[in-house]
Amino acid sequence: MTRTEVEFARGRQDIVVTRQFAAAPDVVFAAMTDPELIPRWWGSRRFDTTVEEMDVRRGGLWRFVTRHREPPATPYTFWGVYHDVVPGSLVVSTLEFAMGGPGRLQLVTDRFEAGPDGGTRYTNVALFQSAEDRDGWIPTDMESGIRESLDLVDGLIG
Amino acid sequence: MSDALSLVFGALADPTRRGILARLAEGPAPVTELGRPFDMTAQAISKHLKVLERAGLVTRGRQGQWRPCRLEVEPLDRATGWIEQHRAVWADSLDRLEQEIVRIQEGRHHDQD
Repeated sequence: MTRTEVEFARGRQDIVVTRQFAAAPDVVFAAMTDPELIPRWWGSRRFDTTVEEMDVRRGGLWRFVTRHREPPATPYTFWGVYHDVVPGSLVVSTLEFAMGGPGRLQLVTDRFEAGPDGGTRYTNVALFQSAEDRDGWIPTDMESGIRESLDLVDGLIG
Repeated sequence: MSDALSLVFGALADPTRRGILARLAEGPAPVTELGRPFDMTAQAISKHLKVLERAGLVTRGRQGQWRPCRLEVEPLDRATGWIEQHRAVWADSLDRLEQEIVRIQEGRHHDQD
């Protein structure tokens, strides 16, 4: 059973993730913005994530480095800036994939709303710069070397 | 996941190539017809077709002068599989976050004991 919904609607430039939590919004917010917890849940479990910086306030920076657990374990850096932070309810931030490629820059809105029975309705909207960008986005679970492949394709197109 | 799939995503990332695939979804067509809707040289269209062929999305007939292009759907099925995988990664990471939240809350209860 999963309570996570991922909406990847055709022709749009966003990916919308929703999830219900039993805990209250301030608890979910605190857990999600805790640097010590990031390595335990963020991204794919096939990767190890290190938090290099995570300053959760307006204008603060975040930077995570994630490595595939199997060789060659190429490090992938994700970083961005927090734009709006309302404790217990909202985080608006940018996310940039440092290696580039389609969809490398996203505007991410995390919402924590009071749900039924004292729980939380969590929504994550990743807004890409275009629909093409979104469809070209390669998330962290792809094997290392994929960027090189995309560069190869770009080379072919000229 | 293979490089083959990354070639599919690279191929799909371009609007001209998606236009070509949309036309081929209606049936096989010669290269000249595929290029018609686009304001591009035959050489540019040919480059796009090469990318699509390399990704396994398009095959060319071997018979006759027309050598019609044909859509191959199997790589698209694999691409859909990637979206499913993206869903699975999100579901899995939020499940792990929830485990952490439960752990924190249990810790709190212990503190209150």
